[in-house]
Amino acid sequence: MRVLVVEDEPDLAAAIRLALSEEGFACDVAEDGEIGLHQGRSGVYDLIVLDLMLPRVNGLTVLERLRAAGAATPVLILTARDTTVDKVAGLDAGADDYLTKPFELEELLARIRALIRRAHDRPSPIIQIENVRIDTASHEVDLDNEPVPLTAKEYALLELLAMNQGRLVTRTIIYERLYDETENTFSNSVDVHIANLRKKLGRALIQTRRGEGYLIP
Amino acid sequence: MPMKRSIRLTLLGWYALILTAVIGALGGVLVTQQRDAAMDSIDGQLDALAASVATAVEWEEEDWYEFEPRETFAAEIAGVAAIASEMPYYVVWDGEGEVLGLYGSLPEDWRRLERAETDDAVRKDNDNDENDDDDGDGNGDGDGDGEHEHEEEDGAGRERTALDEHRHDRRRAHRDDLEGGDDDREGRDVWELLTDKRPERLGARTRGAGDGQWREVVVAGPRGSRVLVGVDTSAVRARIESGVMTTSGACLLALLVALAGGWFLVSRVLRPIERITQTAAGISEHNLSERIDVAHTESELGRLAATLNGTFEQLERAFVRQVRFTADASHELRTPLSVVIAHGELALRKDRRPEEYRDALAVMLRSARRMSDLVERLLMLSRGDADSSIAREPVALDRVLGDIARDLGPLAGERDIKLATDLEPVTVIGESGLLTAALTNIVSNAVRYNRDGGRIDVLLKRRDGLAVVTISDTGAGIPAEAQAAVFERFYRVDTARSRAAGGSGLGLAIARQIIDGHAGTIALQSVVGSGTTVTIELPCTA
Repeated sequence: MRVLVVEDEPDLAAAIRLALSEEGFACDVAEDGEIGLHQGRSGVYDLIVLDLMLPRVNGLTVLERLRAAGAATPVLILTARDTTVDKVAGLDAGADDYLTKPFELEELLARIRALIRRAHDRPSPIIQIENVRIDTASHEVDLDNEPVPLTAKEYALLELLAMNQGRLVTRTIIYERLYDETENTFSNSVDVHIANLRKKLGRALIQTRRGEGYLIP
Repeated sequence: MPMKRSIRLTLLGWYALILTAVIGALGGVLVTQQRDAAMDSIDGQLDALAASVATAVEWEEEDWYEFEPRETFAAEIAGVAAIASEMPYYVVWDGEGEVLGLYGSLPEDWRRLERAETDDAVRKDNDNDENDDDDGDGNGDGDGDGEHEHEEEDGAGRERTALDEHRHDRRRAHRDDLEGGDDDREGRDVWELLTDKRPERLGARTRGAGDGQWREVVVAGPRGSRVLVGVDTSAVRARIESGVMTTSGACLLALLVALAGGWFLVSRVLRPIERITQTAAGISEHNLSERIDVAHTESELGRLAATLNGTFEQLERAFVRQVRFTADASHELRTPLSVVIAHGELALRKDRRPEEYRDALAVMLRSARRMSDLVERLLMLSRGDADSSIAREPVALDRVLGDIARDLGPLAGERDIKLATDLEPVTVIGESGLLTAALTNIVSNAVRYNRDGGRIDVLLKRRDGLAVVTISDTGAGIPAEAQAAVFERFYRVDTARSRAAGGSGLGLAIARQIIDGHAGTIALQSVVGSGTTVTIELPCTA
């Protein structure tokens, strides 16, 4: 999953990015509203964390323009503005959640996970596919009730395919969702991760569509 | 509440007092005039009758007075009667005090008193006719027939003459005519009574007092004769009385109406004051936007209301500023707080390498320092708000600016910015620390918002009794619409750069507060893309 963080305070943006990375998210940072709007429109993000007090274009305007352009990406507003008026304005402008600063890191992460679940129409944090059990909250994966260790990227790929169960996920999308803009991707790294997942969880779990992508049926 | 009541009562009290005095005086004057007019007209009529009667008194030779009532009297008699609603009476005496003529019914008191005495005298006479002195002339009655005798001599020792006889008869006839004959004795008594009572003094007088009063006029006739004309004034007085009552009643009514009107007017005036008071009382810190309705208030109170509204406006604005300042301040602190918390939590999430811990601690410390700096500035601002008094020492501005330039030199050098100074020795009165803080803020702004390789010029000159400091930079400039707002608290022209550079938006606000406290002025000129010049003027010592 890839998250866009639009925050102009560099130290804070760094902390959030670090935390999200450790959680297995690919994370990009935009330091002002203009960049945020531009990147948000690209459509590669599973979620946008949006500050309101931004230079160039303020957060609320970014949100309004995103929604006006038809972007359905879930948006979590993260701001120091805490009055009810602000919250209502933000939510009514199209945000899906509202978190005030200062905040607890764990709470931010949990809310992000919840929004992504909802976006993929997966109310339960537990995804059970055949004999594979995926706990999206704790990132634990069990095969026949035996825990299976996965690398961060392996888990991220698995979660991506599991969240989109029954739908084809193209290689392009996989690259978009698994890597942030700073990471160099090797064109075969995805194949390697798929191979490892099949090895650990069984061949039947992931199907290949030649030339298009993968899917978990 | 007590306040309003006492104004109302005081106003009305004074009003009632003045009104009572004025209306009372007016009423008194009216009543007096009425009375005088009535009395004057009576006197006038009496005078006319007296004069007329007097002309009918004739004196012939040798003590012979003649009096014959005339028909012409009727006119004057009618004149008196018309005014007094009573018939007048008159008495005519000759020069020796003998009654010549009578008319009308005489006042009770003439008859009452003397009649009692005369009754006794008559009784005695019947007992002892011969020696009684019925007519009081010193002689006895003689034959006891109760009649007055034809005496040889009267009391004064004069011989009675045929003249006296004639006179006597005439008088008697006259008397009988007037008195109607029935109560002969009473008529005789009065006749004799009047003989004693010939008035000496001329002019008008009032007989009697209280309920029974008669107004009389005495004039002189030929040779010492006297005419007394009088009339019962009870009817007149009754009329005057009722006139007084009417006038008094009218005055009282007028007084009451005027008081009622006064009460109404005072209420009208006080009502808007009451309304203003209520509205003002309702305006509290939770309801500062209400205003007094000026539209329906008359002009003087309208000014009061407008002034109060102006005060409330200022209060509201100050309050809004206060609230916004607090909100901005806490908001400014939240971001560095979030950084500290986020990095702290992150560092503790799992075991980390030492350098990761070090990085986290460094970031947290940096943010903590930022918060500390912000808190210091806020305290400074609020202290300046609460107490604007400053120390009064001589401060060498050239030294201050020189130190600042030296301290900030390295910072400027980092970005290849040239910092040049041209300082005259100028001394001002104030607090050295505060002035340093203010000027440092401005010079560091010049560094912060400058372009790389740009320049900063700091000038200090003395001009017209003022110390003029000019700090100009070659930075990005401030757009015209923002130039007025830059001195406001927390205002940032471009939040991105200033936030990254550590600015809090308070630097210029603090500088202005300090300069204001030193009785100086601070102004800013800027052209976007070219640069900014800040000019500070402070009163300097001679």
